[in-house]
Amino acid sequence: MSELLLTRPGSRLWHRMTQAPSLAIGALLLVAIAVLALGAPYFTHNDPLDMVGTPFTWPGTDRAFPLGTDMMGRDMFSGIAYGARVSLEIGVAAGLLATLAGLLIGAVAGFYGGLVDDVLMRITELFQTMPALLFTIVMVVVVHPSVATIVLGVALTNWPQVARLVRAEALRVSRAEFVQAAIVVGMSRPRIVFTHVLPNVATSAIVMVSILAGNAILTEAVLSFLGLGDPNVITWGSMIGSGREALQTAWYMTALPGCAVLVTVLSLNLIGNGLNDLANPRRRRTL
Amino acid sequence: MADLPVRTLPAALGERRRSLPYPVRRLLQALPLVVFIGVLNFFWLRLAPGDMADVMAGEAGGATPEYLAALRHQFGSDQPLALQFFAYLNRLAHLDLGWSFRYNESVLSLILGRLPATALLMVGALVIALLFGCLAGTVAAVSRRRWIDVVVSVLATLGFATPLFWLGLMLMVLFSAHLHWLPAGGITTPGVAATGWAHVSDIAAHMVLPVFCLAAYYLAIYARLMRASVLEVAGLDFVRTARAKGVSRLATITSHVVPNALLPIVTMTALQFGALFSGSVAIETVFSWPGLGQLALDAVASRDLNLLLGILFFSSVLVLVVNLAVDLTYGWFDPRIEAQR
Repeated sequence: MSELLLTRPGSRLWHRMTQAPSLAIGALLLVAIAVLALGAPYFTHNDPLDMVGTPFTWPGTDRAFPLGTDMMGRDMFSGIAYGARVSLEIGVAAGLLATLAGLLIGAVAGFYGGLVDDVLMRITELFQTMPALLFTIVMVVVVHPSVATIVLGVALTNWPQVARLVRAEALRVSRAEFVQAAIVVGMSRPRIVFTHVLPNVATSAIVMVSILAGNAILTEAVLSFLGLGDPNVITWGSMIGSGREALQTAWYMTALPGCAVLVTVLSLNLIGNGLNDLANPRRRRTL
Repeated sequence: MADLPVRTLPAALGERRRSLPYPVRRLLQALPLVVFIGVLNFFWLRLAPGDMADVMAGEAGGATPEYLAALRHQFGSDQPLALQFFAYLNRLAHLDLGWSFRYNESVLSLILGRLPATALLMVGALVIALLFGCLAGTVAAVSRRRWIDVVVSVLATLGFATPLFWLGLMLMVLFSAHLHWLPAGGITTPGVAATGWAHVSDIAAHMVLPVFCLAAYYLAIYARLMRASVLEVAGLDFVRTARAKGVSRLATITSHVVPNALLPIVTMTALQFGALFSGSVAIETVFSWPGLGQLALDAVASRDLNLLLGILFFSSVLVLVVNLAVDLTYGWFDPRIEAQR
């Protein structure tokens, strides 16, 4: 499990990477999307929310708008580039938040056991029982539709997967001799959790960050498609939502942002699968 | 839920629990979860700006402060918080989810009215996903042709990354708008009062696209899981024994490998049931399917928080019940587990 962390970064890791093609492909795709997101102002001078061209320009018909314009004459390419910023932002933030919370809760539950474990696992079950999207919708409606609320909602519904995985690992680690030795030496329990348990269970959680980021991007797309996204920014989901009104005649307005979501989530999933293969070489899967 | 390892309980507590039959023990474990969900719902209701009286006053187009106070007294929202909380839990225990002033109907009867459509969609998607997912996973695992395995893996990877609602929109463009093969939305053709088989086939035609869209993601999950599971089981001793005593390759796969490989699928189905509910919210909106998901979004649009929370509570309890049911039938799938209880 912890082989990824034990291996010194450098030649061996690079060698392994060439053996996990899905990681390489995923990383390349993600870098391309990140460049598009960060360089959005350099690639296009059009504001994604401004009317800049003739409405209903099909992709490839006007040099100035390579991906066409929507029914309001907004530049589709600019929308997709600026939408990438929001999607990646939400994906990374929610993925990291869910992983950190799951890591901490899982490690504590697995190490302490007993009543602490019982209560924490009940809470984990609670969040796994409630349909995630409905819960996030309630949260967005009650609190306020903003990027921060969506990140929080996605993190709240996704940490249990990490927590359960980490808990199983922490149970195993807690029985290891070095942890028993630390207890005998008289090390405080919180210190054992942080210095002995967490480093040994971290790999299994870190591997999940990119998968969770993909989940977060999908959830954000659904929410803003349903009109529950942050109204102040342009997102791929809201582009799909507004394109839907012209679905019959100008389906490219829906198809393009959807493809953007698909490619981004695909790249994150490929990275996750690749990392998983690196971390557990014995349980290798194809692609 | 079903795969929770047995926890180490204090000896005395474990002794007491062990004396109860397993179904009762599981039911007792599930009860605190229902209460938790109730607590969370109450918390959301209190956190939201404005209360029931404000909503009603808004409906009526304004009201005097005296009228508002009278309303608050009637709903009990002028009572201390603790009293309100217990009154709320008491109502939940009696399955009273409140009253929707927008629809002028009780929340429970609204939910029960929309449930059949959602159930039809979910069961249809689950059946399709299980059937074809397990088939694809098994074929991918045992096929000697590598390209089949690669095709299944690529399709599964794509299935995981596709936004289902967008897939629905795209299929709608292709099959309804351009090819005119299938209806674009709804559950029946409006204005046509068909009966008997004509009615059934009308609903079936409307079901094809939403059911396929909802199933796509689960197809990917089951195909991948089944592939891994079949590969694992295929390496076990009893499979080698079956082959050694002369059972044909096909018969070994269908009667020895597949039945044993299905167990993780059962666990996954229970675990993913809540996610299936989430998926149906978006799919119902895309295909204007008159189910719970659409009711939830109508509730959002009309700011009917009570109805929205009622749906959240009801669907959570439904997920809990399904998990419980799967957990109890587990012994039938795997007698070894029954023996451990």
